[in-house]
Amino acid sequence: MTVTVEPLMTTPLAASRLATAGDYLSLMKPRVMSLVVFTALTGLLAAPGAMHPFLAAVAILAIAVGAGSAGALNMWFDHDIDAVMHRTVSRAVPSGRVPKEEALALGLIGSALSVLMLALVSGPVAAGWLAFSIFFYAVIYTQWLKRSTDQNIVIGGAAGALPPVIGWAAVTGTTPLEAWVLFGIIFLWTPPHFWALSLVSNADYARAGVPMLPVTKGAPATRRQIVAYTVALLAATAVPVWTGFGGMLWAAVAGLGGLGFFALAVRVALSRAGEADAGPADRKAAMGLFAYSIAYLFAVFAVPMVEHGLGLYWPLPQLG
Amino acid sequence: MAEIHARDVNITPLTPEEQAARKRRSLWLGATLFAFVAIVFAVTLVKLGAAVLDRSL
Repeated sequence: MTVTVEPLMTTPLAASRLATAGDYLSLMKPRVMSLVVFTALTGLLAAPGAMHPFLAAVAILAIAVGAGSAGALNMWFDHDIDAVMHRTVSRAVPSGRVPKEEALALGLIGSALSVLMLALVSGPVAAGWLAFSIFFYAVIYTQWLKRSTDQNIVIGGAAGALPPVIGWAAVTGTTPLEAWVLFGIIFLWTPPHFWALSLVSNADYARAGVPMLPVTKGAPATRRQIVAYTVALLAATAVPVWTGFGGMLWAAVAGLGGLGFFALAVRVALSRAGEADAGPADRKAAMGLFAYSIAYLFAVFAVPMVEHGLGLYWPLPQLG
Repeated sequence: MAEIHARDVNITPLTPEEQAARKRRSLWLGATLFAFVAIVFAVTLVKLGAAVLDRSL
C-alpha cells in the first residue's frame, strides 16, 4: 500500500526556510505598535493613582503585543490584497517569507498571551478592553468593514483609538470621561491621517478592490471629508481645556498644532491630490499632511504625560 | 506495510544557510519563551511581595 502525504503548506519553502525573527516581528507592524505604545503610555501616566513601574512596563508590553498580534491577524487575512498592492507586496506573507498559517498562529497566540498578561498585571477591565480592541481590529475592521464599506477606517479607527483607554484602565480599573476624550481625539484623527495616504495610493486600493473613500466617492469628496474631520478633531482637542484636564501646555500644543493641521488639510483640499492628473506638488501636499498628522499626534499625546505624569500642569485662567 | 515515498512528501534537505536560519529562529523563540516565563515570575513576586511566602504548610 502506498501512502501519499499532502504538503502541510503551499508557501514556497525556499523563501520561508530563510525567514528571520525580523520577518516575524514585521508581521506585528512595529511602526503602528510605536503609536499604540505611546498613546497607551499617555493614558497610563495621565491616570490618577500610582502603579509599580515594573507592572506599568509589563502592562505597556502586553498592550504592544496585543496590538502587534492584531496586526499579524490582519496580515494573515489580507495576504491576498497585500499581494496586489505596491505598498504591501513586500510584506512577509505575500512575499512568501512567512507562511500565512504561521501569521495566524502568531496572531492567535500573541493575542491570548497579551490579554492574559494584562489581566494578571492590571485586572479584568484593561484586559477586557484589550481583547475587545484586538477583536475589533482583526475581525470587525479587517474581515468585514475594510472590504465592504468606504467608512472602513472611520469605524475601524475605534480599535486604534482604544490604547489610551486601556492604559488608563490599567492603572485605575476604570474608564472615565478623560480617557474617552483621548479616545475621541485619535478616533477623529484617523480619517484625515489615513485618507491623506489613500489619496496617493488610491490606484493600489482600486486594483485590490478595497472600497477606500477616494475609490468609491472620488478624490474631491475625500479632500472635503479630510477638512471636515480636521475641524471635528480640533473641536475634540478643545474639550480637555473645557473640562480642566488640559492645562496651558495642552492649550498651546493642541492649539498651534491644530492650526498647522488645519492649514495642511486646506492645502490638500485645494490641491488635485488623488486625481488622475495630480502632479508632484499635489502628492507632496497629501503626504505632507500624512507625515504632519503623525508628528501632531505624538506632540499632543506627549502633553498629558508632561502635565499629569511629571506634574508640570499650569491651569488656564478661568474666564468670566 | 505502508510505504511513504519521499517524492510525494516533497522533503528536500536543508542547505547550510537554511539550517543556520532555522537555528537563529529557534534561539529567538527560546529566548522569547524564557522572557515570558521570567516576566510572569517577576510579576508574581511584585504583586504578592512578602506575601509570596505566606501560605499554610
